[in-house]
Amino acid sequence: MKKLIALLLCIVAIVSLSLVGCTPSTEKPNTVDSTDEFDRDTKINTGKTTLFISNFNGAFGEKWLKAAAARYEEIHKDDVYEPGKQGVQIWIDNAKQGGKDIISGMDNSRDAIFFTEYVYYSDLVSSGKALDITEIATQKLTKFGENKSIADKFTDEQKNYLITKNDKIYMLPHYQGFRGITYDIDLFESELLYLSADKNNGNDGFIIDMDETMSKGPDGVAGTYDDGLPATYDEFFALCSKMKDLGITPVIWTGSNPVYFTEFLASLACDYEGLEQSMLNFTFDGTAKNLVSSATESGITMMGDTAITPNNGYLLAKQAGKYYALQFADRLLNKSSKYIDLRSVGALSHTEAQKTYIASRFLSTESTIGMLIESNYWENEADDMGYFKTMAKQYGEDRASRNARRFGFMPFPKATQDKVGEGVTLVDYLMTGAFIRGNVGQETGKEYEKALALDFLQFLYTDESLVEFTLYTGCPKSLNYNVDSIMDKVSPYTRSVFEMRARADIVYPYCDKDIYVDNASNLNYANFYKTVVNKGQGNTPYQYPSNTIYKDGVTGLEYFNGLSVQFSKEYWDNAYSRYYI
Amino acid sequence: MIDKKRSVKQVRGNGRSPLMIILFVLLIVYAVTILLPIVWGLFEALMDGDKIESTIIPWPSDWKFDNFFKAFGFFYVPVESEIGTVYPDLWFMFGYTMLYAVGSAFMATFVPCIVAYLTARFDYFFSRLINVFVVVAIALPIVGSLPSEIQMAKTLGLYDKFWGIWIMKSHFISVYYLIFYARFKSFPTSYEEAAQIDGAGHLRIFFRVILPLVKNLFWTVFLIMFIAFWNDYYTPLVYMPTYPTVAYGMWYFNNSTENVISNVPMKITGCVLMLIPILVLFAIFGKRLMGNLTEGGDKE
Amino acid sequence: MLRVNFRNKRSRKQFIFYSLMIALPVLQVVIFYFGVNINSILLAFKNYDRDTGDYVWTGFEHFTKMIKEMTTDVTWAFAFRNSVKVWLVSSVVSMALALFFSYYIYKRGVLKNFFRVMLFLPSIVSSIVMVILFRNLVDNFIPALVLRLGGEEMLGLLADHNTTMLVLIVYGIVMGFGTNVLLLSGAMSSISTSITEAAQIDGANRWCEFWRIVFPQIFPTFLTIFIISIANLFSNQLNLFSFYGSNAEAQFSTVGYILYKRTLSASYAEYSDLAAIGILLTLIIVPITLGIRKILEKVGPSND
Repeated sequence: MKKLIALLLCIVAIVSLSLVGCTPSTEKPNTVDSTDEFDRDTKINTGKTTLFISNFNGAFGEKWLKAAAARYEEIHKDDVYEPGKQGVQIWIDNAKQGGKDIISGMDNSRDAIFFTEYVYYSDLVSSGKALDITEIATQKLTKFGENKSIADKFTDEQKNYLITKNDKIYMLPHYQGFRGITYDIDLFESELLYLSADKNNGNDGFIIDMDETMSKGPDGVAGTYDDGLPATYDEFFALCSKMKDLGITPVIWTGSNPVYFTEFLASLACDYEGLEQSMLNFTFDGTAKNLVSSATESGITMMGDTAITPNNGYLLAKQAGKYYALQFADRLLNKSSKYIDLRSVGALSHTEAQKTYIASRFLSTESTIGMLIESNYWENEADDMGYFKTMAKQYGEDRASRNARRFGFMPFPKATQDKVGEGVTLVDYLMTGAFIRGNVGQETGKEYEKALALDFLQFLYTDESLVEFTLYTGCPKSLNYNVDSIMDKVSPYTRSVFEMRARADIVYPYCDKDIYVDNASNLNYANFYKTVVNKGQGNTPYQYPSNTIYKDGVTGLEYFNGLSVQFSKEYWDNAYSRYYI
Repeated sequence: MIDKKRSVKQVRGNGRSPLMIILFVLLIVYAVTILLPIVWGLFEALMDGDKIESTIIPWPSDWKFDNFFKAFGFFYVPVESEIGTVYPDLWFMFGYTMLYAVGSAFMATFVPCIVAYLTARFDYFFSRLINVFVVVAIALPIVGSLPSEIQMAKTLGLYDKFWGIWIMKSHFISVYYLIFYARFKSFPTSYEEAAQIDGAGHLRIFFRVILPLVKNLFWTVFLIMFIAFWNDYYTPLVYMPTYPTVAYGMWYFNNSTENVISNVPMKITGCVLMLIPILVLFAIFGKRLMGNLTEGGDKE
Repeated sequence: MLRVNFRNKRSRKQFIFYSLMIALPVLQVVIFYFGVNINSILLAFKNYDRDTGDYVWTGFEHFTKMIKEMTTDVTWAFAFRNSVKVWLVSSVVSMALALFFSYYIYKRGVLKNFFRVMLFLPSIVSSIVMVILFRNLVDNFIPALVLRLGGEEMLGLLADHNTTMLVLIVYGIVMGFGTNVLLLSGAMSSISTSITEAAQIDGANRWCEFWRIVFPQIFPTFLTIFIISIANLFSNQLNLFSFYGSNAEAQFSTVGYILYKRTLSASYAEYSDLAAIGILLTLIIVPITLGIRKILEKVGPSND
């Protein structure tokens, strides 16, 4: 035993001595094919002033920031911020840290600006750790050649939310994420999966060739981009069974993260309800027009208009949109019709699901998959993961590269025929934001930091930078800006996202009322799908519609009725009575 | 060598005992459960991650041994130092891990041991108070105290220093306090009395008489703590950002979005790569260490 | 006890020794436990004030709210039921197996070196690594293999709700042996050989030897491990977070998991509820733990 201890101590001694003597390499280890078009310093340049930026490099990557940084560095290459240095170096610290983690540690960070998602804005403000950026957000961007301010690019909901009671702004919105259905345009064309304008054309209502006039799609207008796409749930499931007949698996999504599907359903429900009704789930202030009084096998009966206040927020569990969304899930997850790839309720990660979806057309081991339930950024994420590149190597640039593939963002089919032609409602669920560390520039010798950070942040919200963001990510920033100039340079998928976004109302699932901000995680919009159902073994709690319907045999109807058991008056009184009016 | 002869004899004796046979069967089932994922992992680690086809079933046609070199190349954590960003590789992480794990494990064993001795052998009110307090502290979940913990570490100058983390780890709110306590409580008082009659002081009694009695337990706990710290990525991540350990490296590797390693086989390769040093360590010391700790019969 | 046995002068010396030795560890705990955590614990009695960014006193509001929630919400009912179920299975099955396996190694059964390594292997391997390997094996590899071999499309064992709970419990047991086996067999190794040899001469069989000699000798260690498992009853997460992140099903959640998961996503104002839950759970479990310890110390086998 003594020998052993001696040996261990020796090892420790040797290790510590050897560590004292040397320092780790300053060269970044080889990163083979991860190079992109940006040739950036891998070391901090001591001849320049450095500004550190924290970037959540999830699905949106870092290329957009590299591009903007390069432009900014070029513009300011001769400026002097601190003695003995010339020019500025933007240093990107990539981190997958959500808002909560960042807020807790930001006052000790070296980063000046933070780009992240899932930020509880009210916590950010009250923590006192974020810099007041009202001035740069509200002054006109004249020095960049624009005559409006950043705040002018906010939507009304964003203004309500981001401008505090004292008329201050501490955070700017970052990127946008919408859950939805992606379809493979090439597959739809080659397999003639579009619906015909003539329902009785002898081919179950599907087109016989691409020249045939297509149906009007969910917007009810002929000649728009959604022509031929399913307008109603019924048409959507007709499409699914058509695919099944052709040997195509209709839908896939990630199974390891069931929240994806829940958020998709929640978005589907919001599309039914529309912006105003959807916002009731967060504001608890207004009139609910689509509440279900009873739902049975034979259908639903509706309640009259009901005023919603914090006192009766539980009634929103009866929103018809939720009922229809769960009916949709019920039909999609039907065991006998086999519309889904089973891994969607298994352990497939979201990136593996993307890879399986785009590769399925080429693989003999997989049946072709028609649609993917994901968010609008998935194509960029899959590209960042290198999937398109690898496939292009294997199956040819002309068939399998990102540029060669054509995908589309499918507008939500409508629950009922009478809703066809109504607008689109999307949910931007990511709660993203950009903010500056409150104690920026307070360190001795770094007095320049505050002005520099403010200037760079403002620079990133000029129209030019916003458009550039879209060019590099294929995704929208969560602001109003015009992207027409680059629409010919982006993928068909990005185009379809923007086409839909242009005519959509967008729900931001948050509000500045106490009841919401105090309970931000409980009132998260996907948490509204908690249900309680008795399947013969007593009341059982369920949370994820995909798993519950497929694996536990709960029907969409039972799921819906269970929402009101979970969100009962007693539950609500106990949890929220201090906000009652 | 003597050991071998003895065990042959023992085996024959055991072979007749139904209890030992049942246990043998259960242990075989258990071993298979443990080995299956590891064996699968070893094969999966050799698959081509760039393949579009699913490689979830490892197929022994095209093994990629260079996965390990590739993974090794990506096993780094960028760290900020005075000379700019540096990139400690697996060797550095290994060194940091040894310093972190050995030092912390020793403190996290020694302090509970000594406090348990004091509270078990000296019947003051304060001893009983500590004893109940430890149970409460183990059971009480604390929410959201991380920022104040970091703040405290920084205020006291312990942040990002090895000795700092050793001090922070040397507390007795630990299940092993209770284990030591139970052991100390079970000794008859005659031990100290005899020593005391010989004129030995309390400190001497503790180090010369008491500590040797719990030597095995002490090193068992040390080993358990060592492994716990070896596998702990969170403490180094939060408190020692410039000294990444192997587990921290693994965590970083696993969260990396670099294309080359963003596939199942490469992630598994990373896992296997992290396994290797600890398995080697275990192969060298394991038998001696655990032999000493767990075998019945002969005593040192 | 000791104090009674010594005369005054000695007892003063002893007290000085005791105070000096315990001072540093206590100081450490005062700083790093109380200093760091006291505010988090007191959150249970406070409300978050967004205008000032401070927490202000509110009394027992959060306690009454959380008591009501924990007693009426089905999710909590399931969580308590699961926690107790997991504890029962892991304390009965896992401790019994750990005990017997330790005995097997102590008695040098066939392949004892191999098994000793196997028993300790899961504790050596980082839990992230083990979880990644295991989940891929049961949820991705096995269904793919079955399909490849011409079988039906199937869900993995952790994905299929019929098997999820069983697999989680078995995994918890299998992965949790290591430290218990080390502690128990370590305790067995301290048993004086003269005692066991005497028993062998008396002709006691293995079963008798185990119950009459070995078990009473290691009872203090066994009892402590058992007591610790009770104290941890509400913090056991059943590896749910490792396997499913924040997305484990409510029907399989344990109390420890729910608390952990809610803490991860909580806003500042929500911390108060969580702190109240923490204190409530402690108020339940500590008296039980201490009570059971008292009882077992009295009725357990004596090793004198």
